[in-house]
Amino acid sequence: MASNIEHFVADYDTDLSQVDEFHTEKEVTGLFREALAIIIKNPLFWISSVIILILGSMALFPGLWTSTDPLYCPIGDSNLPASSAHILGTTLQGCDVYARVIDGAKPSLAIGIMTTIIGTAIGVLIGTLAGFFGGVLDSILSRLIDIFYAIPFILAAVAVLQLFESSDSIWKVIFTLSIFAWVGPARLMRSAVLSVKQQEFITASVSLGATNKRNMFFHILPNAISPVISTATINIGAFIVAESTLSFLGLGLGSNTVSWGQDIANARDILVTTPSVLLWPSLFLAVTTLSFIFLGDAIREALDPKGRR
Amino acid sequence: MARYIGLRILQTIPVIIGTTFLIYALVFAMPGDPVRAMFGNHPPSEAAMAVIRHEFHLDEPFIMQYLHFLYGALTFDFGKTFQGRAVSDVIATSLPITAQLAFLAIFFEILIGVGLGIIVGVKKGKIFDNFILMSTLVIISIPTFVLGFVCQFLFGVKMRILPTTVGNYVDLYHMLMPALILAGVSVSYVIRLTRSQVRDNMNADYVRTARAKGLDNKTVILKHVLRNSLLPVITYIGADLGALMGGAVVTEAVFNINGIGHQLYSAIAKGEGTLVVSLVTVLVMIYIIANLIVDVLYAVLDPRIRYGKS
Amino acid sequence: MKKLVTTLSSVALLFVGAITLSGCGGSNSSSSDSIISVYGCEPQQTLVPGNTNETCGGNIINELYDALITYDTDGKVQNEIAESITPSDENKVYDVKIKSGLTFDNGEAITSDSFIKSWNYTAADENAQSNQSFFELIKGYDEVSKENSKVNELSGLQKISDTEFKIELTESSITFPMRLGYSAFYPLPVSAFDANGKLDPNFGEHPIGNGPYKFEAWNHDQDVKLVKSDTYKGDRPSKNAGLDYKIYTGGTEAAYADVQSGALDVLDTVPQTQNKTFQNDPQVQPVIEPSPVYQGLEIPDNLPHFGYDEEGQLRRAAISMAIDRPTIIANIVDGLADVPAGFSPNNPRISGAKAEVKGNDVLKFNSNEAKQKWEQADAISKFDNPHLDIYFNADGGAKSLLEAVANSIKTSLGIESSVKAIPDFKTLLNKEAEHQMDGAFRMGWQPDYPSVENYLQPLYTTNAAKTGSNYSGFANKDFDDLLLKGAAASSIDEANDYFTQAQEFLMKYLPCFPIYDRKQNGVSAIGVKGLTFDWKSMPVYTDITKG
Repeated sequence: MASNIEHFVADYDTDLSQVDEFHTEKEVTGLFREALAIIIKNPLFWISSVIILILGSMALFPGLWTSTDPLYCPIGDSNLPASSAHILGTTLQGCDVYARVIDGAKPSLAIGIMTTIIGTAIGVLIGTLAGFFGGVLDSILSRLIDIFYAIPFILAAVAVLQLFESSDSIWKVIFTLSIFAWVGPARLMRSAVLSVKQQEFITASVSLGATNKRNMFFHILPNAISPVISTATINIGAFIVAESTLSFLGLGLGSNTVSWGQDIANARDILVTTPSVLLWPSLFLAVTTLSFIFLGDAIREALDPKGRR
Repeated sequence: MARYIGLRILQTIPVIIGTTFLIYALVFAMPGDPVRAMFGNHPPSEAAMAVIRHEFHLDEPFIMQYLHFLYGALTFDFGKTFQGRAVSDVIATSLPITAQLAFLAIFFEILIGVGLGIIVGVKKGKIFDNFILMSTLVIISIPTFVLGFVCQFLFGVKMRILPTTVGNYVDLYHMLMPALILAGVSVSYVIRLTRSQVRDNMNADYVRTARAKGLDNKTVILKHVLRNSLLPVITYIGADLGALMGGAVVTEAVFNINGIGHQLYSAIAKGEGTLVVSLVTVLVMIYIIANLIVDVLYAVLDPRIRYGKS
Repeated sequence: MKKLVTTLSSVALLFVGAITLSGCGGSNSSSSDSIISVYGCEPQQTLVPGNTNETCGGNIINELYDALITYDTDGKVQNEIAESITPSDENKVYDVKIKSGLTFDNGEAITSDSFIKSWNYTAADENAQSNQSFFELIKGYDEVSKENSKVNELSGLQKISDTEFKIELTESSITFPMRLGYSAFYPLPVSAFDANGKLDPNFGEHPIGNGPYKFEAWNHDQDVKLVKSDTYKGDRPSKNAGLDYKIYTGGTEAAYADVQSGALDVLDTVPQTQNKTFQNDPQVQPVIEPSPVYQGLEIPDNLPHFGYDEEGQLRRAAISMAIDRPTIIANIVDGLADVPAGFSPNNPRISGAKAEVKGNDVLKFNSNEAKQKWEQADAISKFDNPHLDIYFNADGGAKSLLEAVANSIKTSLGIESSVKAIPDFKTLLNKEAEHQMDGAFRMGWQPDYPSVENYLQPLYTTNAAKTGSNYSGFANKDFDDLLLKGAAASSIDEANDYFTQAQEFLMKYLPCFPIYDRKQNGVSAIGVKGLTFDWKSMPVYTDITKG
């Protein structure tokens, strides 16, 4: 076992000034360049990127994938099995399942990704501030987090969404979900920062005269972000499902907008007889989540200084 | 540490006041007239509705309604529901049921989530890891209402090894399936979180040091890696307790569990402000206590974390 | 696998308002020892008849109380507690004689006071009872329901003796005796009232009734237990030992799974998710019967282009004819409904219901004619609305039906139409009542007594805009007159002729578009016998046995 240990010892004839030298500017670029070098060697990164690109093309150019109108739903075509006209069959309302899955990509991905980005960014900022500065700021921010955790999701959703009652925009859903999306990352980030800031290398960096800002963003953040990334990638899938819950409660997107979440919510009525109507949007959702989990893993491993040996 | 805990408990006061005010404002802002809705298709005279509005202070301005609630809460009188039941009675019956469900779910999160998380974290790139990942995905991608019903049918109706619903049989046997379903999504998070933490820490210097000292693998993982990996996991589970207590609406409906989630949902739908705020007050207290325990655990797990001085 | 698929229970349509009330009728037979567990939901108010106007409480109340009258299977009135109900003065005054020897569960005799005290209590404002509006026909209602009124007694109620009292109405009504079967008119024991006529505040938690069952216990949100009454001398004694209403807080799906596994005996409404499968499900016994409930769509008259003028009439007819009802019924509710023939279901248990109403072509799907009418309307005034939205309350569970209706309108008329959810019933109701709806909205109607009158008067008369459920803004004197003539008729048959004319009259204006007449679907567990439904689609609980 001991044979596995590598040794990081400078050559004996290295000049001492060289050993003690700090390349403060260089280290910054080095962090991300190093990460990039690691990430492009990771096959998971490439697989997930390709899948995300394919999904992205469905979202941006649905015309490439289908020419069927997902909102053309003659009731006489209700619940048809797969055929050449409808390669994945039809829904209870007689809509083409394939066209709906393709057209649902855009709002679903937008909701999942945007909510995750907004929630994670706010959460990371607040969590880092609370964990790093501690004291009164920590108390205030932590109690704020407590308050937001305590607000029932449904109540806030009803209240917020009635402000945008007449709008069918996906932003109202993203906004509503974001109200809660930052809370989890904030708590996770705070705990990770609390733990990281006690570690020797931070003490070392402080004693070497690094500023608070510098410490926070270049030393603590990369070392503490790992748990947030692990959960954020799952969150993308969870938020797409959350839109389904909102639709279920009559608060989601209007029936004019096709989304995986809505189709999953609608599929429950015919789950017993036509489970395939549930299967397809769920499958796309699962593949999307999987790709982002892989991508997140690759980024996390590349960013984590501890994994860089 | 005692001073820190005392300070934290003191901090709950502004949190509760802030939260209840916010919730009251949200309920007040909700559309619809709860009193008119009570009468459905048979609207009574205006005078009759005025009697009810007066009884529940609904004819007063928002701030007065809130003060009525605060005053009542201080004297441990949370008021009555539209049905005429004491709010404290509603909480007293539904809280223990939800607590049982939530703690059982947390137990599964720890047992399954942390357990599997360690295994897949230690064994890098194995088939087992991918299998767990796929199972995780299935659980995330299938909504609770579908998963719940499939399990209900398979184990309850088909195999008849577990009861289909809970109803008034609130015990471990009846709660088993709903708790597992409720824990499902959170378990996925805990597995991912534990796994990434264990992986990160397996590469840390102190692990190399420990190994260099000649410690065996098991001791290294259990004594060193785990202890350092658990912080975010505990944070997540602590926060999840609050979410499980108030947010199990769908699971409660599928398995007919008369818990806080259902009470909260129906109170919101009916516009019963007092009941909503009282339930949230209870939830926020539970939540604050859970987080306090988590914060204390930080210091226990990582002695370098110190509270009370900044 | 097939079995798995066919019986796979599905989803939480969490908030389906299950329409469940309870029943009357039945016959004499010996009782067995078994308690029957039945589906229940938590009553909105405590168990006071005058304060119960929704199905969860009504379901239980109806087994605890007998009324003056009941209905036979044809919807005809039969005396229950009443010995006789004699009209005079052109059906404006009713003389009620009560059978002697009947008692409440506490031994108290049922007298005129049991009714008069109970009715006065329900009608008075200060008590704010849900069923207050049922007394508006009785003389003196205006006085007791005025703001800050000091009058607490209906002047139209006069006690003659312990077994006889008089009811005086403000206007003639031949259908008034029919209404007396509703829970608002149940008697209450005099001992439950104090000297000021106030009901004991705890009465609703421990109600004392006079029906086939006696109240035993109520664990809120869990169950309500009734046992067979040993003092009951009425016409519908129970064949079982009691009822255990298991309360399902999340809707009927969980209850269906319980019937499958044998944990619940009776579920009176099959969840939508099992519509396709319950008839072939080997783990349950299905029952399908006609129902008095229908589903429809309303368009408010203040929506531009949809007034009741010539253009609006054309557009309303076009919309109605654009809806492909047969295909929607076949696919959305799996054939468990009928295409409507008029403004009440064609149900033989409803007095005055007709198999065909003249002019009901506008309720039949005809996309060509729909398009023609739409174009004729466009010639009068161009339809500049980009779309016609259909609103519904998300906690009511009609989304798939309305989506199909919207798609049908879209396909037939080539206009944009989609559904919009409103989170809950109270918000929808508010918008309807305040005429703030900028689109069509869903309506469903369950009558309180089995007469076509109850499908017309509370929904379309001018007066009902204030005191009833007229949200479509329909106000037409000729229509109002037809209903008044019907009420003042000298026989039920004559009254029903006027009601039929009123229905025909509505065909021209279409304040509502009936979409389908529902059928009642229930299931009982294997081994349970005798599940049938009464006229209002409530199980005849007293006839159910098992073992």
